[in-house]
Amino acid sequence: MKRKLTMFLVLFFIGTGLAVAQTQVRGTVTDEAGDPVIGATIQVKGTSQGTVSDIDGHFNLSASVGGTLVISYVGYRTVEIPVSANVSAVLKEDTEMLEEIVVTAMGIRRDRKALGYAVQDLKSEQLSKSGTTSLANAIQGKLTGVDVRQSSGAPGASAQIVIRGARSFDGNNQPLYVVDGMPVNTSADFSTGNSITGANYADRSIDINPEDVETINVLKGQAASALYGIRASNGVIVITTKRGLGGNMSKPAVTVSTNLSAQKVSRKFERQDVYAQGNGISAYNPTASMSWGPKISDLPNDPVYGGNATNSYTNRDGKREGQYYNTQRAKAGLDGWTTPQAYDNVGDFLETGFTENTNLNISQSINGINYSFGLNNSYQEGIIPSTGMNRWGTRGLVDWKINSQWNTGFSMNYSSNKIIGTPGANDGIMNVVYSAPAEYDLKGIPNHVPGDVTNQVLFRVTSFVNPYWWAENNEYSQHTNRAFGNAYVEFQPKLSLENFTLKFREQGGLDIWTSDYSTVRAMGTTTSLKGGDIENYGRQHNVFNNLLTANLDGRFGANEEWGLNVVLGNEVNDENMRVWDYYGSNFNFPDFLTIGNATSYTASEYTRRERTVGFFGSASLSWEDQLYLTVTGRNDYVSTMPRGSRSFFYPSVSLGWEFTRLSGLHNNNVLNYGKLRASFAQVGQAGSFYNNFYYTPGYGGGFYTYTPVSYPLPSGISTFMPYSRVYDEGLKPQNTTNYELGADLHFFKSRIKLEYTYSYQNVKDQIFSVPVDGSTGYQEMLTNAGKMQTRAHELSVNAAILQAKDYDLNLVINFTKMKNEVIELAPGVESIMLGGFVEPQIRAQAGSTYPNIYGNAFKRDAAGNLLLLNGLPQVTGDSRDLGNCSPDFVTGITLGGRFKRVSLSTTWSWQQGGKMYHGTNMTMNYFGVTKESLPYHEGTMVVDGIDETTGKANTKEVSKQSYYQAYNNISESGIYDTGFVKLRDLTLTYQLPKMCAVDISVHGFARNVLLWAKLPNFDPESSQGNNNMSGYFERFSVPNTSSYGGGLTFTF
Amino acid sequence: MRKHILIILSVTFLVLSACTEDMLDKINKDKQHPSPDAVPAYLQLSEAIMSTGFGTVSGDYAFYLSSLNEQEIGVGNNQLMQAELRNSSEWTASTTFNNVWNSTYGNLLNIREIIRKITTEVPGNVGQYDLLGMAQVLEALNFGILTDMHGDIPYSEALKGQGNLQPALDAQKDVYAGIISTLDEAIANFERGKDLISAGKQDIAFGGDVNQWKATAYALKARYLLHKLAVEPNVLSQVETNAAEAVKLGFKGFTVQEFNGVTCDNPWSAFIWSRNYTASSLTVANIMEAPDDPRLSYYTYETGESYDPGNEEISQVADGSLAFPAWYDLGSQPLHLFSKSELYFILAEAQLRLSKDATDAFRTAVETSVSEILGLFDDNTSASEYAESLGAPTLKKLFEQKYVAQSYDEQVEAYNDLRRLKAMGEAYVVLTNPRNTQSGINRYPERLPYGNSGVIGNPNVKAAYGDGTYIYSQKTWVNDK
Repeated sequence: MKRKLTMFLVLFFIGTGLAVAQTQVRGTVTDEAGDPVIGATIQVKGTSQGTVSDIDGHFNLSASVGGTLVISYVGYRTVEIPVSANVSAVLKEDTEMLEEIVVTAMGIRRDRKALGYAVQDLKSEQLSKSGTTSLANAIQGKLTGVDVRQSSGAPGASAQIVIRGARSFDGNNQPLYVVDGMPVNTSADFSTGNSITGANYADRSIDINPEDVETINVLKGQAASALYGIRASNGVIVITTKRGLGGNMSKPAVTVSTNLSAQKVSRKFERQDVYAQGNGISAYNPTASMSWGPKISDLPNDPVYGGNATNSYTNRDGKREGQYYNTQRAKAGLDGWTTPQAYDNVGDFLETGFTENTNLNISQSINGINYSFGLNNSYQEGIIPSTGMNRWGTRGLVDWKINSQWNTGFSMNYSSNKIIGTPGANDGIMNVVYSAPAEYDLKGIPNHVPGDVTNQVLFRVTSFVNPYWWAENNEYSQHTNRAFGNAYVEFQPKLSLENFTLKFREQGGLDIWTSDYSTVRAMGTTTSLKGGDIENYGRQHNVFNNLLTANLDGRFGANEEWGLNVVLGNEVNDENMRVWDYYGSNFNFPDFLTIGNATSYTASEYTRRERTVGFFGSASLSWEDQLYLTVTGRNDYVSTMPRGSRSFFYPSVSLGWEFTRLSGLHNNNVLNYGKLRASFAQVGQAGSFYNNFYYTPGYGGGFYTYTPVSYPLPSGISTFMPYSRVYDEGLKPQNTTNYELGADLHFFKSRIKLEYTYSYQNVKDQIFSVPVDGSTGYQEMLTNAGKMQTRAHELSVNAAILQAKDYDLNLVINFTKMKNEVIELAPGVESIMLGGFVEPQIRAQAGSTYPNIYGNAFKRDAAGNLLLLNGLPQVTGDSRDLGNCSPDFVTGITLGGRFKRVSLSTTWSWQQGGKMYHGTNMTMNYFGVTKESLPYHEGTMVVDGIDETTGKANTKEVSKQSYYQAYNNISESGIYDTGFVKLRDLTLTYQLPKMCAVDISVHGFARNVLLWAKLPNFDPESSQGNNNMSGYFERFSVPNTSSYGGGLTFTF
Repeated sequence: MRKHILIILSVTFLVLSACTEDMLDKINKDKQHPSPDAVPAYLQLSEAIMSTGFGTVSGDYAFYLSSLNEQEIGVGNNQLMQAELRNSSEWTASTTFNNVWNSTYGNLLNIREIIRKITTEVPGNVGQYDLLGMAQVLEALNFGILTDMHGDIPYSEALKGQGNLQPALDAQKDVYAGIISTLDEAIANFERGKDLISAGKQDIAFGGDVNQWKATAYALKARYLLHKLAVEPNVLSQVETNAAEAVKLGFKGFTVQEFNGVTCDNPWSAFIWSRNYTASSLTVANIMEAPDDPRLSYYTYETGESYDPGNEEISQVADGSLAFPAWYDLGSQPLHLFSKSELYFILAEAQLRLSKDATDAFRTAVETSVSEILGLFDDNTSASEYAESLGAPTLKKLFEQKYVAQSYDEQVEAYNDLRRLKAMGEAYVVLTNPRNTQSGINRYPERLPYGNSGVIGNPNVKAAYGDGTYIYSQKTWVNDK
């Protein structure tokens, strides 16, 4: 802080500089060990001149004789040396705690040690950016208390980031993102709702290029985020983008980086290839959905289709020894006769994906102007044919120190993002790939009848689509164009008070985006979609954000032992949105899949506006640089609440105490730094209140796989009825109270850093749609109810195990153990649905951790034995709690080291416990497709259990197939432990010696390569949904991927 | 400095005016949906009719009951297979009929809103007695189906929204009394509004024809009086009077004709096209076979195939290869809310039980049903000849014919008849599904379970539901003799 102040004063006298003789200075910067210090800032005191040391620690600049050079580098003490022709500076390590500056709420920069709450930050080089396009993937495993759940390996797949557990049962639990001081919306444009149809929707954090990020600060606790008011109850992710380096640079720094990688499925589903299509060992059935048929090798002997047998086909074509007749081949125009063999349908279908990231960045700091310009492209091809993503982005940023009083600048980002996705669950195509009988040549047999693209050929004839046909004909696309950024001006008047600064800042920001979605299902997609359909829909958002702050900072007292920082401000956030949906069905003819070719249409479009106005203040007081007290308050006015309930006040107080400043503990060799912190805060969330209204209903859902009736009717009639949700007129904001305690301890000259935080979060008066008995006329009421609690232990250990000139080894462990409990919902309401089928579902259930799986269980007696009927397992009458989704604990481990110019870093994740519903495993078991099903294809058995009718041990013999199907038809059989250990990222970097003033570093990486999971056959990190159920409910999702690749970075 | 103060003051003023309650009210104005009283009641009628037909008379009740009644077979290796195999949890689970529980009450709220707007004279809806009567007819029909399916239901305390979130159950006896009096009110309102055409085209059943609505009210009265026959044997003459009144008014059948099979599909067609969960039942085919019913070939999709109820292998077939009634493959076939043939079957039953000549009523009933089906396929076979060929009606013939006729889309009424006849100790159509009894335990539901929203959101419903197995033991009041 002090250094900054000095620098500022230095700049202050720029205008009064004297004209003196200049001399050329050559210099070297080394550390105490004699090693060159790269990137040290060399500044001519009293001027804006400066430079940076190169890779050998050398620098050149011209300075006035008699002047002073100020040489500084992070982690070292700043030195001042008189100007001379040859300068040799030796920097000493700063053994004191680094004066580390942290960007806190509202862009307030504070010393890390002054904070009374936990803050974790990641610098650009700590992010795992290679081989992914998503920021969420880049931070996975690197933070405590932050749960990052990626939905799948699909390009642009959504990720759910939740800090310290959920606060809302069914609402938004994602943190607020603030990019360069401007709140940026990152929720998905549309929720996947129950997440059982259609494709995933990317969340809008995909518009942030991970390569643009300089630092990410995660404000986890509510005390840290309280100044952001109502939108920050879920924590805040503060992102600072790359900008020009400090100092004065004679030429711009250019960085070009690129990385290319190949993706393959991280865990390929290996199906059984012994038994053929059919529903019984005795009969091949060319249209069955299942693989319970005869052995593939026995197909030539099949009485109906075998070439060795006498049947209608051999009567017609003569005996075909060793072959069998496949009716689908014949339908596709091939020879129906074929020799049975096993095909790798899964391997054939899943391709090798491709990811490319290229970034160009130019930045410079010159004469008080600091600018940065960037251009980037990310291109991905998914492992599923036809899917992919293409993102182009550009950004520009300027900070200009006009004079000692005025600063101005702006930051602007643009991105264009196109994603082609894959539908899951009920509309899934992966189920067809997985369940394709081994003897059926899914890739080789044409996917439609020759000459008729609307007549598909598939091994089964139902509501499912041939995946190859799907890839050629259907499309689920998302296209977003977005610009966000802000411009600011800062005014720092001269104060008569010594030691005090006052700064006003006015910042106006915009966040504008338009997202176009299109779902095109061609003619002949399924039996109920013979005519095909197209849905073009989207959203447009215009957000205006204005932030006005005044910041007073200074020190007072006899020895300046008191420090004071006061911030007052106002924020206005005004959002206009437009949402549209145009639907057309029944195309006139194929191959022209636009809405103009549809024969019937419906459309809807509406606008909505929301505004939040907040007034806030923060006061921090410090004493002797060891006790820090901060009090904040914010009052918000929110348009989305009913009249009279729109104003909320949120307080916070936090205390930090650097106890190692006590005389007895000062300069201790073991514990060189120790801080205790405690905080309390209250924040809230608003609901979306409407006055009760009518709407125009449609028919769909339930058994219907499409919308059979929609208004207007063919006769032109339209209609209205009351909406199924009633709005509580007494709605009030929900309230989260948070207590946090923690300690930061540094040992052995900060070689080992330990941070521990315990937090207790109590949420009451949740705003959610409480399900009500349909007989009230409504199905839900938006009201306040329920309680939820989270207790979290976060421990982060940062150890520099080895530290030497030529090598080092660092270990970071991020451990989180969290218990997020639903204490109560509403009176009489035991659980609410977050998503899923009629059963199973993901739910929030009172008395259980959040969320849990709820569905049909096995009927058992008191001792836990299966109660059998007719020798087979039975199901419970109603849905039950089938398990808690949240894990016992998660640990992220980063282990990395350097030897000379080679460095290796690895990121590991270890999750213990947790449950998910894995519909793909369960259904594939039921279909007799898994290897696990192999012992059950032939023969009979007596199932262990109690015969319900006799009350005695079961003696009834059943076929093994019947048992296996009965067992795998009950949702409880689909519940799996999600515990895993994973090597998320491994990066090997080689820093080439500087060539022609160009720094080149080469790296190779592998992502998601090693996996030990309790879940069979699949990677547990792939599931349905982009909302609170995400991560826990899987059914024919896009599988997760592994990446292998390499990249280059040039800096000159 | 003055300049600064001015700037600060004007900014403060701007910011403060940005968050006044009036300003925020304006911002939060709902531009997507109309407020309740902005919508004229007649615009709500179309949905009230469509929902009654699409969601309540047909829909999930009918799909499941078609299996229970053996009017069709549940197949497809999923829910309807479980229903066909009388899987206990499929029938007892409160989730099974939750959608229809919610949608029927939701529709009743819509109907009550129509009534409210007219009776409280919300501007634009004053004096629309014809529309009032229509809403009352629909209310009676929806509550009638709810109580027949579930027994005691929220009635007098229902549909009050936030005013009563946990309505108590009313005894079925009281619900029945309410239904009859609602129908009487409707008849009175049709009398008052006989010259009005308040709904016009929005009336997708009768195009605003008050007379037909009045006939429907009488027909419904006849039906709900007849339902009570097992417990109130003296209702027969009232049944006859009301049915005759409907006949006198020229009742054409309460149907929705909007479907075209392309952009607007009959629910049964949408169900089969979506799921392949239904196939032709041997129980129906057997009844059709003896008298050489001209509907038989359409019933089996001209394959001659039908399947025995409760057959596990058949119920697992999921590839759509099984025969099902061909009319479901049209998509454009009309949907019955109350068929003309049912009215004549009711009249015929009353006459038979009162020892009167029921021949005309019986023949009209059969002929109407047969000609409707044949008409769908432009088949010129004489329906009347077939009706005559059946000879003089007996209760057995009547119930067989009614059962066959109602296998089209009136499974709810067929279930009511089957239970009523059982209560009366009569059996004309014999159910053959061997799984109706399993290991000596009854697995034929005497009623359907309450909806899940009631079970989890309303302690009164939860208490009545218990673990759901009450559906096998507790008969509803009208069928409990």
